[in-house]
Amino acid sequence: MKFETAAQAAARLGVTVRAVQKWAKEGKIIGAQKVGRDWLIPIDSVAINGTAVNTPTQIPYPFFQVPYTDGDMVQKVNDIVDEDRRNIVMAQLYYFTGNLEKTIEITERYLDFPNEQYRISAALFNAFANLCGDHIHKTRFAANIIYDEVAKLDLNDKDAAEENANIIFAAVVLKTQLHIPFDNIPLIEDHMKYMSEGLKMMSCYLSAYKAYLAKDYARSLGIAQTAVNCSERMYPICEMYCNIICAVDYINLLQIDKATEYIKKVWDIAHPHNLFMPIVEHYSLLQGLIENNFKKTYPEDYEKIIALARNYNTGWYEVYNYRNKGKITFELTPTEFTIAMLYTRNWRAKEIAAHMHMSDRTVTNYIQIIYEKLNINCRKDLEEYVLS
Amino acid sequence: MTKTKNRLYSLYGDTVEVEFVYDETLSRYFGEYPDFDEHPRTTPCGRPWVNATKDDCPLADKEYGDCGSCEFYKCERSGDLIGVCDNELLRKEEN
Repeated sequence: MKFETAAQAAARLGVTVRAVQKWAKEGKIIGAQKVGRDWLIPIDSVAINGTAVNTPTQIPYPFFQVPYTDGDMVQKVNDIVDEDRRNIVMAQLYYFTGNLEKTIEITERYLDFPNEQYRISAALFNAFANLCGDHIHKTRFAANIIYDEVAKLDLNDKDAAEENANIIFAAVVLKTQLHIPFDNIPLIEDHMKYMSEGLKMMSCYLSAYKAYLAKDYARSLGIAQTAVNCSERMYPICEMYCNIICAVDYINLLQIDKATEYIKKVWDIAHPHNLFMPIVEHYSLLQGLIENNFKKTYPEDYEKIIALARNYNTGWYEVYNYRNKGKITFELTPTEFTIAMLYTRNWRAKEIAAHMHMSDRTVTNYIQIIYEKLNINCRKDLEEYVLS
Repeated sequence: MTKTKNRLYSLYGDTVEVEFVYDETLSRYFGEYPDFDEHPRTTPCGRPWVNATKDDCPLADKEYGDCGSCEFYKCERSGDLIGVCDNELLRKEEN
């Protein structure tokens, strides 16, 4: 029998070292041996004895929690023996590749699943997938499942620290990305120590996103870059999210070359596997980077992203406006929204024209169309319609 | 045949006519506004007509920088995309 350390097993299984040590101590890992203070774990140990709540087969975000190894993603998912785990993983793969109907179809079945970890996982991806259709009420329904779990958290229960951290993560994603107000979510930073490496990276992305929303672009950039650089293993989707926020930060710092460098890194990960949803989620914030770099070279992929972004943004605006009594508009096309975003950030028409490869006159025409659609006539009023 | 309609913008004794062209795709009219940077025009008392989207005026509001957001931008109706600059410093005396 070949062995690995608890740390190696934790990385392979996408959980913390503490979890592996706990399972080993509780006799849930067949063949685990205690050597001094550490544990030796059989290298093929998915063999968990018993049906404990938190076993490696029940991690809620496998793409954030299990390091990537080369190979065909779909094949790997199909090879998963446990049916529920396979379904959860497949639903997430469907989401990241933009097959949202399938995501919804699978996750619906897990919204009342007995295991809370699969339930919040299903609710999170169900909420996001439903944004892209005319199913906003379902996004709200799924979000409430997560918030209900947060309300029930017992933060004093140290044995449930990892499960709690997973639930807090889902709530913070909803709050940060969808701007859904919820007062009693614990600080994610206080719970990162209970997360696996990939989930820590995603949590850093959320912290970076918060700094970006506060217009502290340099801080946001520092958090996201550090998260990527400190990761010892490959978490491609987590890297995409962090690199996207870096690109967004750089564009707001008017460093277009650096923004381009980062969006190309994102594309290099996304394109081979069609993992376009992280790009779609941030399309509006990327302010022309996708058009400039990929529209001509990858016209079919670009069209797919645009179609998804249009639906995603429509749902996003509706959720945002409902919760925040806002006026974020869904009357604008993606290009108009991009120009509106740049214009509200005090980019001059000439600068937008250079960035978007348009003539000055075309940009001015776009701004006029935007104003006419929104019945406004100045930047000051436009700010209310474009979340900056 | 393209549907169009015209609107007159009247301020300080001067009138500008703008053609609005119907966009079938979006089911609405869009104005073909004159570009007052390329074709400057002033009212009889020397006040310049400006596009609300103009954003390179040295006297513009520091925070926003466009004419539409400026306190000196006067338009006939709220939301108009062309108007007149009321800033005395920009009045053309010779007119």
